[in-house]
Amino acid sequence: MDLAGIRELVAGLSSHDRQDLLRWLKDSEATRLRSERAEARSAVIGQRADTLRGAVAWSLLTLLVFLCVEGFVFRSGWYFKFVQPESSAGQLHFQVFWLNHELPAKVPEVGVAGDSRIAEGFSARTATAAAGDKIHFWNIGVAGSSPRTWYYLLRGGDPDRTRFKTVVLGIDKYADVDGTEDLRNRPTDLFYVSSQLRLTDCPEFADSHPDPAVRHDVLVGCLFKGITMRRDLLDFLADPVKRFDAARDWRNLGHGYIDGYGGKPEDLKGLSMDPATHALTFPPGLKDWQKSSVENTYSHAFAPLPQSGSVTAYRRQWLTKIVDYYAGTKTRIILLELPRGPIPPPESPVLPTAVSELSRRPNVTLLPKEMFHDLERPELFADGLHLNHHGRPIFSERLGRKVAELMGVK
Amino acid sequence: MLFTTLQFAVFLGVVLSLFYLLPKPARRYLLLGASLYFYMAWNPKFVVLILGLITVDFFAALWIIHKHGWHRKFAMLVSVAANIGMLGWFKYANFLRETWLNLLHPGAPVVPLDIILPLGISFHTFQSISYVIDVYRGEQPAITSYIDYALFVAFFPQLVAGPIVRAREFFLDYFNWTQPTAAEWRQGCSMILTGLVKKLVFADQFASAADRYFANPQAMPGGIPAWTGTIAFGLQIFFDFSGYTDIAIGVALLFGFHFPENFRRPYLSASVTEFWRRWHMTLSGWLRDYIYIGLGGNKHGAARTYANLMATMLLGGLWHGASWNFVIWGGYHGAVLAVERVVWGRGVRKGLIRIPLVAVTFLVVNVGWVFFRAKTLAVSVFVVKSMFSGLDGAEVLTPVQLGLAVGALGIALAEEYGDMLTKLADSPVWLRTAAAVVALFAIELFTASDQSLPFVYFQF
Repeated sequence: MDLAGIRELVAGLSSHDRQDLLRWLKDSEATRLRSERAEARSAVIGQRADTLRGAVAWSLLTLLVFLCVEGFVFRSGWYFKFVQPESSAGQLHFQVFWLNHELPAKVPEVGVAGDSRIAEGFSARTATAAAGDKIHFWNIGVAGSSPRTWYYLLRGGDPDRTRFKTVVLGIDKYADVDGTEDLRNRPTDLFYVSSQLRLTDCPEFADSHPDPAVRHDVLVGCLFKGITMRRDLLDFLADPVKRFDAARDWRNLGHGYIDGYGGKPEDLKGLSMDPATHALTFPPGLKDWQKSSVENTYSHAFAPLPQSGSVTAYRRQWLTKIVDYYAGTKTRIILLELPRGPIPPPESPVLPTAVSELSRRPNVTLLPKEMFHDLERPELFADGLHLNHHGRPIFSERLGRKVAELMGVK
Repeated sequence: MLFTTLQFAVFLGVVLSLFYLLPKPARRYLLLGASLYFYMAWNPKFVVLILGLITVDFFAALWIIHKHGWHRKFAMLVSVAANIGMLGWFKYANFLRETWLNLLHPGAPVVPLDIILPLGISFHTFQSISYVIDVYRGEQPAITSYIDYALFVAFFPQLVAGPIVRAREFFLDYFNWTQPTAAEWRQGCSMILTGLVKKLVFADQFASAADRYFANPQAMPGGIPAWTGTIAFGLQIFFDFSGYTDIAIGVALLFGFHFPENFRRPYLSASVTEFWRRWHMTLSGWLRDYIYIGLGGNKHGAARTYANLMATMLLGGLWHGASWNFVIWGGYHGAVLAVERVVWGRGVRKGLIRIPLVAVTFLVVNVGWVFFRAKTLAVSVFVVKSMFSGLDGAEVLTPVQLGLAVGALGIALAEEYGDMLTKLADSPVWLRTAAAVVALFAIELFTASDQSLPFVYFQF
């Protein structure tokens, strides 16, 4: 039918039918136009999506998705709930966790930080008792840790800088003696503090490692915590149920276990050193780990290594950072020289530069260097570094009393 | 600057951003500057060497097109001699000297000369030689811009370990440059991720098993450790080198350059002849075009063809390293190729017969890897003897590594018969995003080594 025929037909329609037809035509046309426009729009959108710009945007978006998921897993604290408690990351993480989740004591609190010589050789319970229960001591020592890691531990555990009235830092020797290991380039510190590092910490934390290769690895590990936690994750995947149980047990009861720990039962009775040749004589029955530990302690005591000043630089940076963290607060920092070994080593010719500088700061107190020298006896040590269950209470009680005295608690 | 480091990721991000922000005429300067910086990040002083060779080859090619008669040949020979001379000095001087002195004074200790092998010299010299010979043969117009030619030789994605890109392939893209399509960009990203997974997750994992065995094979006698240790190395070198190549091709694609394919699932080959059509394809092609065909190829009878094959493979072996072990490796492959040609001709086998042939080829290729990996000839002989001494001893591969090997075979089959990775790069956005995120997590969490292990082919 041509248009003329249609017109003729329409002319024959009633007025009502003509109105209906007109409405139908309008609706049909509107629908057709809408659909054409939608098709044109979707074609443009499709083209846009498949341009190079779209593909680049997709690449960046994919990276963003990865970073978000990675951040959720490793930066939100979610993964660290299940970190291996005995690992370096786990030890420090759970210390921070307990500090964050246990209510402050009704009496002033003191945090005692250090490496295994504090973790193993200090009893918070004994020190608290020695202070007449008027101070509550926390043993926040972590085996294998160092001042760089203590800073992040304290920042995470005492974020408002109000929890501890005093922080005690147990350090190796006041003298800045360089050892076989350059503490500044210690890549393992990253593992300890991985739960505490924020993205904004990464440049400074990585920069504190002078070796470019270590700095690069540490920066990558700080930015992508999954890389740092890789071994832990593989271990976790090997037996997730066991890990869940271990982490839950340590989270709930670990602090109590540490508090109730009595110290190592072994001792070094009979250990002696020839004053002329410095040769060590071990008593019969000593275990290999005890002997090697003693040998390590005295291997460079009488023939110091060449000094580069690395310990001074390291302490200047990280002990100062801890002192700065508490600057302007009511928290006092106390430094103490730990008992050095089962036999008194010679006095170091190296000056205690960094510690001397710090001692001039208003919130820093240096305990007398010789305060624990009388504990340097074989019968009070379990190996070359750690006090045993006889030495531990003496050290803890004496430290408790001294801190109480300095805090004015009678 | 390894492809697997954060340093390279930052470098690539900066160069890519500048490349697309700068006006087109400035981009070649950017790419050349970035490429030289990339090279100097390893050892700045050797940039003089590469620029020297670039200069010689650039002017030799111009000389070839502007002169006639013996001048052309002379210019070509000067260029080839300069490249071979540099390669010979840095790579083979100690080897030749040691061989010579051992002939003169057998048993006397030889103190090696203190020569550092410049990074990528085996690759960029071959690339330059092919350019000058192609210009000489009239198959490639000479490049008249020094910057353009220098970029062809030094372009950072392929500078250190290939693929060996021919001038016509590079300049086809270079002079007709168009920005990559969305599909190409995705393909490039996909290849970079695939390469990183191949290197960090697979290659470094197998490296630990191979290193454990080849550190002291005598401590692990028996056929099983010999086979599994060698297969671990075979898998390591494949994932390592093809991973590197994938990253190189992917990076080039992001800049709009199409590099040739270098590996096509070589361990699914049903003969060693097919293996060489799928393994390090750009080197195989180079050896075919400039040595095998140069020697006469198959045009002078069967005996000469086999001799040409053997000579080509011996040189191919020597290209990989200056030691008799590499020569034996090349000779072994040359011999197997000749035997295959005698027995089967050049046809590709199809159908179910491929299954046993693929298995046999894999084992034959792995016997060759012993000479490639072992430090000395005596150790190689010990390992090969162990392989055929009966199946005793404990295997070197851990259950995780065995699982990875099986998984890799599955992926290779899916890629061979289903083009899986290409399809994944063009799949719906949610699927390819999920796949990329999984790959990124695999790289982050399942990297086998805590150290950045260098790529195996960097030593060549």
